[in-house]
Amino acid sequence: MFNQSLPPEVLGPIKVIFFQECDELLASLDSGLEALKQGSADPDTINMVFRAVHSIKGGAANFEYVRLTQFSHSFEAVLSDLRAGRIAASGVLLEDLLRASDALAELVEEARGGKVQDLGKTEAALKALAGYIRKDDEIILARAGGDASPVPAPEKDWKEDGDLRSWRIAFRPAASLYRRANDPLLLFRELKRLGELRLELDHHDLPNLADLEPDRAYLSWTGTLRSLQPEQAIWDVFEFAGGDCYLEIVPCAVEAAKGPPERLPQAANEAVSSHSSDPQPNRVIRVDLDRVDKLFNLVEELLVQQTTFNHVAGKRLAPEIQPVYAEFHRLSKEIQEGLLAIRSQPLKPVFQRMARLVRQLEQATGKSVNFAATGGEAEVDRSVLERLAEPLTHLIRNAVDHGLESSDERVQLGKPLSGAIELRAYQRFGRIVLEVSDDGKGIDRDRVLSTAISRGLIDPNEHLSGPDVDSLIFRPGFSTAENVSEISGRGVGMDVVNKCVRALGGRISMSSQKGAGTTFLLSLPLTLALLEGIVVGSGIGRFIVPIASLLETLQLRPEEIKFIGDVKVIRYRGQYIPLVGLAAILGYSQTNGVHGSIGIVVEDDLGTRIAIAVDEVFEQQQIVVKEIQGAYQANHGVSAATILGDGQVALILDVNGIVERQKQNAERAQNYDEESDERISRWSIR
Amino acid sequence: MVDQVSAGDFLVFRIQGQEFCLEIGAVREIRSATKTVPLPNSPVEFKGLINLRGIVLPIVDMTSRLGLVVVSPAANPVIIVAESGDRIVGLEVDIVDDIISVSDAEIQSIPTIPTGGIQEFVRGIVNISNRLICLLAIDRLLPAEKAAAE
Repeated sequence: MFNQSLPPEVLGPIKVIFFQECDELLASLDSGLEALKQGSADPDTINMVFRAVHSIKGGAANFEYVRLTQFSHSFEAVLSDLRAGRIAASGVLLEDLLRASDALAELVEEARGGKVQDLGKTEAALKALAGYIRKDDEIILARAGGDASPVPAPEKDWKEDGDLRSWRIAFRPAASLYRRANDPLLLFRELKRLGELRLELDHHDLPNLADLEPDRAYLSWTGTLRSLQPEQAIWDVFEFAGGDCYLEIVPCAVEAAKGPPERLPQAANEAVSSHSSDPQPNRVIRVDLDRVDKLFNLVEELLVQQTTFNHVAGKRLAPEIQPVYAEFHRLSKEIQEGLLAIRSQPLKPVFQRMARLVRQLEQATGKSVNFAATGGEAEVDRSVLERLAEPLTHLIRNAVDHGLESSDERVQLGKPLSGAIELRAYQRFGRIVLEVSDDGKGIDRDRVLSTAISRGLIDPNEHLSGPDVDSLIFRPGFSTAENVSEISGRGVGMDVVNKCVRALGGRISMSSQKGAGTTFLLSLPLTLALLEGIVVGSGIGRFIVPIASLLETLQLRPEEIKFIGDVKVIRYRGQYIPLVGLAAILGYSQTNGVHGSIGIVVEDDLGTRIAIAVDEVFEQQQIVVKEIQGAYQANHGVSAATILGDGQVALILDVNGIVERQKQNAERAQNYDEESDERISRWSIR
Repeated sequence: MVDQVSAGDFLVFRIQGQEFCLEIGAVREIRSATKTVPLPNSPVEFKGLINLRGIVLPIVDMTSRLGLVVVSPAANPVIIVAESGDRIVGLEVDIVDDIISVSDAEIQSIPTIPTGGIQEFVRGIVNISNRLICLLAIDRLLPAEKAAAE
């Protein structure tokens, strides 16, 4: 309806809101259906599920997303019957509804501008739904244009049940209702579907054209509805209009019209809903993330300035001012924590995506899976949340595809027919821990070992402990899938998962028992905005070494530094590891001299260890990660920057990059024919 | 090579005796140059990073960015904090002159004579009261976007 009446610049933002709401509605639809599947036949849950689909349909019709409207209409019809108790919440029905919810999610994506969905899937879901819909309920399409032609009301819908009752309806939209692009006409059409509707328009407040302010609301309606539907059905019609109108729905004792309708009170912008039995779901406001991020940056600045202040004036502060300053600083820290909490979001949406993924995988593999997810209410920073889906998707695909045996095999082995996959989340020591476990075949160490040898990843004579063998699966170029399948696809292996997790500052570990299953354990920071690190100093400035990659700091004794060719090495835990100077490894100096009396032993993602010589080691501290503004070319050795207490910029070392550079340098040293000077390319233009 | 340059106010600055300008809308602030923290493995024209009130700001040395020859080093170099899209960068120049108002008629396209590497950064020439001022394209001064794959 809006497409014709609103200019694109108005329509755009409204659509954005619609799709945001769709995401939330799909999430509550999913959790509702899951709850029903678990056996909760709670009317509130059924109502929630119904309202979710109903709301999506309403929005879709407004924006004329035909396929989405059609589909959600059929979906709603089934849910309506479920709500009215006309059909039972059988296991089969819930399976179909879950599949319909998946299809609905995909249609929402399609409407959002994603790829056009495969018709077959929606058709199949529609067909399944149609099996539950009574024949006389035809699909009503959104009508193009704003014409007021009556929607063919499926009369039988309301003649079939309950007592015929009359309701007095008074409705006065506030201006905000129109601003949110709700159209009273649509609401009236919905009402009309419920029964016999008589409405009168009160345009008493409508001023002369000259005085008319176009963005104000002047109209109100009163009238009666005779319907067989329960009261809730009438309230549901106004669900969208919720807080944006004055609304009265009261049973009429006398059916006769009560003379001229009384004037309605002015609808305030934060309109009064006289309906109190409808609990407000959550007290939530929608805030643009940019605003939160901006505030977060400001608080960071404030903290930096405070530390600078302390640095400069600290010792000179009068004793009575010092506690005031400390309090001031503590409050700022609390604001920062509060803002981080605002940016935090529960894991639940990601978990729901995983549940959907498992359902798809069940269909694709023909395996039956019992998926359980717990701890979805745990919260992580948005920066982490956004990047969690990828490693989890890989892990769950692997678990279904390679972990679980086929149903036949499981029966032969005496295992339950359905495989179990569990996703668990919990917080521990200021980190979020995610566990993905299956009760499948487990990891066959002998096969891992033979694969690793055949891929040339390890020496056949090398003796590896059990856990060392397990960790081989995280190596690049390792994939145990004997034939690359549709599901796990393109030979994507555990090394990708490892890389994702490492990029988040996390660690992954695995435990497995042959024949009994596998558990992957991911431990991740709660936020990427803060990082634990130690500050180290060298002749070229101060740098941050992330605690996650730090193994140890040790005193360097000249007599313990040995050479292998040109490369300096020291002995660390029984092995010789390279020792590099910080300036040399970062390319600040052309010589490979090592300055400094302290060795920082670090480890990269693949377990390669290296010692970096520095002059000073300062305290461990929590630092605020600052991206370096403007783009710079891939910079081996530095991942980001921070601002220290004295206001100076310090670079955060990227241990993977440093190890990489060390390897390159070593290769270059062997190959003295090649030019050894750093080739620094000019920035490319565009 | 000449994109649509429209009349307006421009900030004029000097690098090695030559005059350049940027649209005033792209300029956020002007401050005196401070010590930078060099970023390893970066191109020579990229001087390093400074703390601009909590933002880690990269500083581009405009003399080497434009490939100019250092005649005499600036006594008190100045940083122009400029924006391009959502990116922000500090351009280190010798001195800031003034702000000029330019009409359409005063903007010319770049001469077709070979002018060396500099023309890739120049959007047009401002010819006003016998001064020749090169109008710079801020987006071309910045390094290319980091590859999405990184």
